[in-house]
Amino acid sequence: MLSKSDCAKYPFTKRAAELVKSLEIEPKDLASSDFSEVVGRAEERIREAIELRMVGYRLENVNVEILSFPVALMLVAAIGSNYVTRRYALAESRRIYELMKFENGGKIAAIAEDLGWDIEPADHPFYDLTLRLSSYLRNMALLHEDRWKLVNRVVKNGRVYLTRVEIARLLSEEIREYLIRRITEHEGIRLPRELENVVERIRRLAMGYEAETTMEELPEIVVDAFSPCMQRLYGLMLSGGHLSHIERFALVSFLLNVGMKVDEIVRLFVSLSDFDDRLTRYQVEHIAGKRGSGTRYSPPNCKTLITHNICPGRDEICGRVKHPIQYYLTKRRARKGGA
Amino acid sequence: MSLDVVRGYFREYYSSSKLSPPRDMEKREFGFLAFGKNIMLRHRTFRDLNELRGFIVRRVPAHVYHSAAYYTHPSEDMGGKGWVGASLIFDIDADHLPTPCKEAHDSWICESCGRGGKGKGPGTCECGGRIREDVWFCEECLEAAKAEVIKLLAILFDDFGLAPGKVRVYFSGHRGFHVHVDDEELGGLDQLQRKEIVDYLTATGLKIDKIISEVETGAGKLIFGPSTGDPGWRGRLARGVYDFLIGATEERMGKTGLGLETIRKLIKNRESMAEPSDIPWNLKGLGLQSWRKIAMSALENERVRIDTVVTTDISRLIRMPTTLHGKTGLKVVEIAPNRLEGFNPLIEGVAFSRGSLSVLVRKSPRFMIGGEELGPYRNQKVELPLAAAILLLCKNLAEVV
Repeated sequence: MLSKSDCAKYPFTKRAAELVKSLEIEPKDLASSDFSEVVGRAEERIREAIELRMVGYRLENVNVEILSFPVALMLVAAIGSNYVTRRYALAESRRIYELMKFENGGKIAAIAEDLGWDIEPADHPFYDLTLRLSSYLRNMALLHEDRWKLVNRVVKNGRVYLTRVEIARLLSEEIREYLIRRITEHEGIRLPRELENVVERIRRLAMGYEAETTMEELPEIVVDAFSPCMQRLYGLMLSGGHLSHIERFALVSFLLNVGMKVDEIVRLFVSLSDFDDRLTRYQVEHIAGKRGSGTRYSPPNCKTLITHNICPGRDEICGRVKHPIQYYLTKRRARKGGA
Repeated sequence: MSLDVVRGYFREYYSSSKLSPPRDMEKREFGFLAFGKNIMLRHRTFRDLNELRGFIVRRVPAHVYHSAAYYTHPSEDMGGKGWVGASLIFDIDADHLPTPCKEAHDSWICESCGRGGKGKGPGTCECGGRIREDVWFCEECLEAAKAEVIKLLAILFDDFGLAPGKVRVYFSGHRGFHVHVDDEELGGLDQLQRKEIVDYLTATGLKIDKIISEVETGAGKLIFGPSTGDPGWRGRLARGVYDFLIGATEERMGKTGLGLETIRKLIKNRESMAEPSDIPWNLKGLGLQSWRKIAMSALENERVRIDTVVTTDISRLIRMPTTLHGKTGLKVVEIAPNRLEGFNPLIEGVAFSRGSLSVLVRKSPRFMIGGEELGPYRNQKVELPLAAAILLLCKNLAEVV
């Protein structure tokens, strides 16, 4: 069972939500001076997320700590910026991870169960807990280090063996996504006018930070900056070689994403004898999102290319990126810097 | 005209045989390929088996498929279908297995310039023409494919903990096997998550240097490696290394990149491994690099060779069990896992076991079907058992006379 001070540390739990609910607070109450400390801490949470990339933890006032969390979610929703939403969710999940790391296995299991995970103690010399395979797969997707890959885990009877710190890391992933969902649910929320100032202050702060990270526009295409896999596929296509369905998909989506036009790609393919212009155009437009479901496809990432045996081996830049587009941007930038 | 005859037999089969539709058939999309056509009729839905059978008997397609996925609106186009989940599908095809017999029984020819050869053909001809392949499924292909299915099942049952009732094995009707897993939880996995499953099965990204490592101790360097009884890939790798130690030929050892001295040592050590034992990771004279080479070789044997694209594609169409394969006339039959070892698709996959048909065979190698050995034939008229005649007609190697 989670105590009240646990709830202050882990305000995303059902237990904490029950505590908050029992107080029956409405958004309009937040304007009252009784809540100034709570609103102040909520603003601080978001500021810390934007400025320091991690929300701190204040031990002094358990109630303020618990209540400021749902208020912060409402404020973030009112700001209505994707950037702030992601940044905040990430920073909260980092705080939670840092705290969970030092908890014992029982506490971590209690938090995991609160989130609905099927977790069991492990009968193993190195690992503390086991997690159901499907839950593991759902939460490891964004963790890129080799050790998280299923193939590098001990897996037995549908359960994945993990240390308590690893479980904490996975939980923080789930919590991050959960926070994004919670914030999105509040979309279009009406806050009392008194809080508009707070929202406006954070919005202005965020704008400065966001501007730094916005990606530059893509100029002309530099074939020399293609990743080894795309160089190979591109060369293969130009020389009239055979590309499997997935290779063709990877290449076309890559070319579209580095800025090549549908017409240019169709021309490249059709110059090879056995391509039918109409069919090729249809397929390329499909990948570009101009047909069918309207989804514009991104090329597969490195992991997927390795799975399907398209990766011809990695070079030095590959070691630093996870995606052929990332490779392209990195190499192109380096070339520009050097020229 | 020959295809009309084949269609007639297919119609007879579909009118009189028991068909087994996929679970939740009303939520699946069905697809059909007609004889002699290359355009897939897609996005069809059927409320029940009778409606489906009626359609098949009326149209008599060469190939019948259903989606691995289940949708809220299966007949809409891809954007509007509303994906709910998908069976987890594994495809093991002799086509993807490196068996030497292919050079003997497979051949290809360019339809434009006539260039041709033995074994697997290139994707497109040098002249840009379309390649026609003539591929066969022999005993050796069959055994190789079965071995992969057995490895796959071991992982599904032992590592992934799937109940036997959720896993079904089918002969694909041509050169391999399909394994369908219907599990509520795994059915909800997305493409990335399925990719993790694929990488697990194929041991892609497995870090051998984390499993076999060297540690500096007070008594010198010690090598730590897995035990044969360990769960998951650690144990599988250890068992592969054990098999290597007791059974690898000198040729395989050489290919692994081991030195002559090391090979001699390993062979000498076999005597002490006559009794089942664990791996002697600290065998004198065998260093970390040699062990890792051995492990790499073991891994090649242990990894499961599935078609990676099939498993990760969550909206793929797959051949429906109990239907006929239009390139062979064989049926997609279910095989109980414990009967896989003795399964013979060229007997149990035969849909037309009675009757005979006279055909003019242009060219065929020696082949087995329905327990009979036939051929080789070249430009000759023969009366063949019906299954054999249909096989050659489907492969476009013969015509009805």
